[in-house]
Amino acid sequence: MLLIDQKANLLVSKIDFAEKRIKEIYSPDSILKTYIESVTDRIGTLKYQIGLAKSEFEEFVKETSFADKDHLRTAPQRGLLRDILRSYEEIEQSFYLGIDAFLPLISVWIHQSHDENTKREHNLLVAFVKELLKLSGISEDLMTILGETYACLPLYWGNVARHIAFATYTETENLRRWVLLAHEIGHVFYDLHFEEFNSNVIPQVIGKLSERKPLNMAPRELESVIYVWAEKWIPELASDCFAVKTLGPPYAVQFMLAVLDSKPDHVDVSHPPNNMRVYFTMDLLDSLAIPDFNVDSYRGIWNSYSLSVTRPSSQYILDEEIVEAALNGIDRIVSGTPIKGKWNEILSASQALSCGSLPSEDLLSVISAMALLDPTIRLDEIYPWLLERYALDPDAS
Amino acid sequence: MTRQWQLIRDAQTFMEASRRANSALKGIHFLQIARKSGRPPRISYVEKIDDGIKLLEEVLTTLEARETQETVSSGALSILYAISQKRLISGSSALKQIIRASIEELQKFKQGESDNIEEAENLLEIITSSAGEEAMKASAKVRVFMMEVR
Repeated sequence: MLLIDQKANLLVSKIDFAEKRIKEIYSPDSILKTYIESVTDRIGTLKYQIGLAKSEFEEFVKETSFADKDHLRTAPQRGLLRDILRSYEEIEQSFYLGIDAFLPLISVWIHQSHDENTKREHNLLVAFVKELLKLSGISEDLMTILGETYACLPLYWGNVARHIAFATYTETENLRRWVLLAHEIGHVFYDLHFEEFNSNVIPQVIGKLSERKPLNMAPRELESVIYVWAEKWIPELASDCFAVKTLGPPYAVQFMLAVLDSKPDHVDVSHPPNNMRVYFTMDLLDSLAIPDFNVDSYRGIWNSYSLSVTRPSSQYILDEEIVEAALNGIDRIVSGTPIKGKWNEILSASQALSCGSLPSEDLLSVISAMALLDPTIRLDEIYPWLLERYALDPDAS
Repeated sequence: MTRQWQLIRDAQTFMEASRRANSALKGIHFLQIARKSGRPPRISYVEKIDDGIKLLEEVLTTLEARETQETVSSGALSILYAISQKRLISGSSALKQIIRASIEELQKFKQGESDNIEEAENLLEIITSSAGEEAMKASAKVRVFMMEVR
């Protein structure tokens, strides 16, 4: 058997293993079921790609009499062998990113939702995310796992995009922080509305980048800046915008705390500077005109740190006109403002909590209210009460 | 989204670009071998070349759309980034010229009007290898991260 055939068999055995593991899942819940359907389709596609790669290699052997004993002589033959080897690399990588990265998370999900030690807290988290999705009008089911940090794992299974949200494990009982999941769900929103961003924000930002670029800038550098804005910063800022318009002040307050660091103007390839993000958040809150919330006092708090440790930057990537084109475009596309309809409930829950009583509002309002409360107010009793009240089997609710 | 998970998205986008360009290269090489041995080309070879033409047309359209602030293709943006990391091109008009010439070469080559495929092969090779490298870099970082998580 030729070496490439052995590689193909190895990939087939990985597919068989993945299929076997999926078949072994006993009675998956309604959320997991939707993921299993998508990943099964993806496995089918990878299986087809392996079959195709195998038949292309057979054809290659027939055409060139290749026998893995001697190297090939002509340029097209050598080129074709390289192309075929690359196809195998691509399948291996696709398998890793789409299947190997996902399958172990099924076990984590099942464990967290069934194990006696984690079941109730995990169910509470799932119930919170369910309410958040409902409030923002997103119909996608979302696996949520108590994991390393607040994050959203995107899985692109062919044309299907699925996501898994993570909440920080050590903040399981610190419910104030859960509002940060609104940003992660913002990434789901971004993918669902990608075409709108792609037609109405990205071109305008690229236009501004080209217009404002320094005269001596090399094309290679310009491409890098375009890539950073289009593929990294715009999705992040859109998720910020979504989170503010969905959960408003509770999100903004916890977000400010989350991004407080010593380098608020630091330019990072993966995320826009924290200063830009916080100012955007505050401006959005201003435009929402939410009653009984003083945006300026929070702006002042942020500035007291930010302006003390940093100086205004004149970097091209942060050019005012470029930033403005991005933020205005994002603001227009993220048009829903669910927080406006939810704010009164959050305020009522907040008042009840401040008086030491248990609020009658839904889980989302109670947790959002907790995010707003003075951190010195002790909320120890609330967590067991919420577990009692909301942490039922999510499928039973 | 954390940096690590962003990398998964990057890796998948670059991988798709690399896969499409590589498929076109397979079409070119299969066709060259078949012609050399005097066998008639299979339709699938020509289809792969057609897909390569479509890919280059997408990149060209995106380059043009960028100038007029119209909708761009996200995949094509990644390809432009990948090309810029591998080949020194003086600007977008020079790149447009190279892409147009490559498309023309591919058209003539698949129709048997010419055997010259140098420009197109070079460009597709740059896309395949550079996007492949970017995908590899991103997924290598993800691997480290996944190991830490587990």
